[in-house]
Amino acid sequence: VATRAQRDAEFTEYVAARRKALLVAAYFCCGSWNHAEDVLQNALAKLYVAWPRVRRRSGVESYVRQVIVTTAIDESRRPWRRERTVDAVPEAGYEPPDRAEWSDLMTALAALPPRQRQVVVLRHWLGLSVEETAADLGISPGTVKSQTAHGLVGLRARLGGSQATTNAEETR
Amino acid sequence: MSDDAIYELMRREADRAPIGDGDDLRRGRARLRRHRLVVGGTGFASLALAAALVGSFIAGPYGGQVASTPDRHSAVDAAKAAGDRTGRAVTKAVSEATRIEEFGQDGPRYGILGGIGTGASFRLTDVAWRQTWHEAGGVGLLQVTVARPLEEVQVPPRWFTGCAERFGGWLGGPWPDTFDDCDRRRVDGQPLFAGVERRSDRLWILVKYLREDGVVVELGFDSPYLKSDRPVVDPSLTVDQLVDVVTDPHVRMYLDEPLGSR
Repeated sequence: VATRAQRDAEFTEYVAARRKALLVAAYFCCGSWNHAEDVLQNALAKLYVAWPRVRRRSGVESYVRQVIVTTAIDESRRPWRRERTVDAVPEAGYEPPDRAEWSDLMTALAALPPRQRQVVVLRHWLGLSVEETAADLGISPGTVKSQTAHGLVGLRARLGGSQATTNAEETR
Repeated sequence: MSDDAIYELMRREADRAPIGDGDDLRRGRARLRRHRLVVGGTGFASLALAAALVGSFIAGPYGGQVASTPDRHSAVDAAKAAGDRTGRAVTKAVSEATRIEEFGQDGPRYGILGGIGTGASFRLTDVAWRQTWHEAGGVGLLQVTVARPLEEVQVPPRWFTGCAERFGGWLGGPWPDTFDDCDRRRVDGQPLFAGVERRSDRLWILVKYLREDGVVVELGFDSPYLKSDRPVVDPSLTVDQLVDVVTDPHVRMYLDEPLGSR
């Protein structure tokens, strides 16, 4: 049985190695660095509590990925995230706080449906295989492939490329 | 726009990430305070996180590790699951049961399942694992793939010429098509490829072995663990160690039927 010190050492080692990649993954999903930081903190807090269990099952990375990609997108749909109380009715609708600073990539990612965005982030940023992505999201490998293909076509169209090619790995 | 170009855009975007050495600690403490205010005494997770993050700045390096031997019992389970003829059942069985032993550790730890292949027939054709490699405070990645032949065994000429070789394992991460330094030899009469490619802050090692029965075992080392902040660019492991792994007959899939019997 691992001691608390061992557990903390393993956890901190993991966080030190993975925090940037996971923060960026959350950002790609939600489009706001502040929101991404909250999502990452929530995910790490949950991970720490669940560490002994998920460590035994070798699911550390998968566990935290699932928390991040689902909450980063789902929370943006929830009323307390979506609604804002203001003194006067705004002229324009609510926009994510970082939107003014979005790059072309972020604009293109934000335009994708949530599932396509999740799949593209997991596969192309975190480098997961089709099977890993399917397991993370609880969908079939075939769905991962089709969502990846549609997502990439959407990204390419918005980023100025029109090549709808997919590489060999995507077709597996 | 190629996949590499999209990845490059993502990498540039990631460079803007507002993250520093003290950020996690600061946020963990702030979160702890907020959590205490909101939920009183139930803020265990935040407390634990903040305490753990304090240690992240004094964490020492782990020792090196060498992979890997799949577990016989688990592999049999995987083969049985393959008989279920559903990809989900196979994935579940393999992910729960497959393990990779780490030499020099107190006991076996579970590797990270990279994925499996079943083909159109839903018979298990290839299994892949990922295994972290901790050294000098960094985290690298070992990827192991065992693939059995789908058709009659033939040894293509490319097994014997040049330094162009792809990591046939379909796990993530860009892999070089050719290697700066490579060696092709025979082990027990069967061809083996070993290549090393180093580019600035990244290192790849690929060792690939074709067995007599047509099974291909590949072991790839990639210096960063996915997008690890601390790549292991000078691992203590050697190509010879990796050769020992891929030529070890215990590294295999255990199938409940002989090859070619379908």
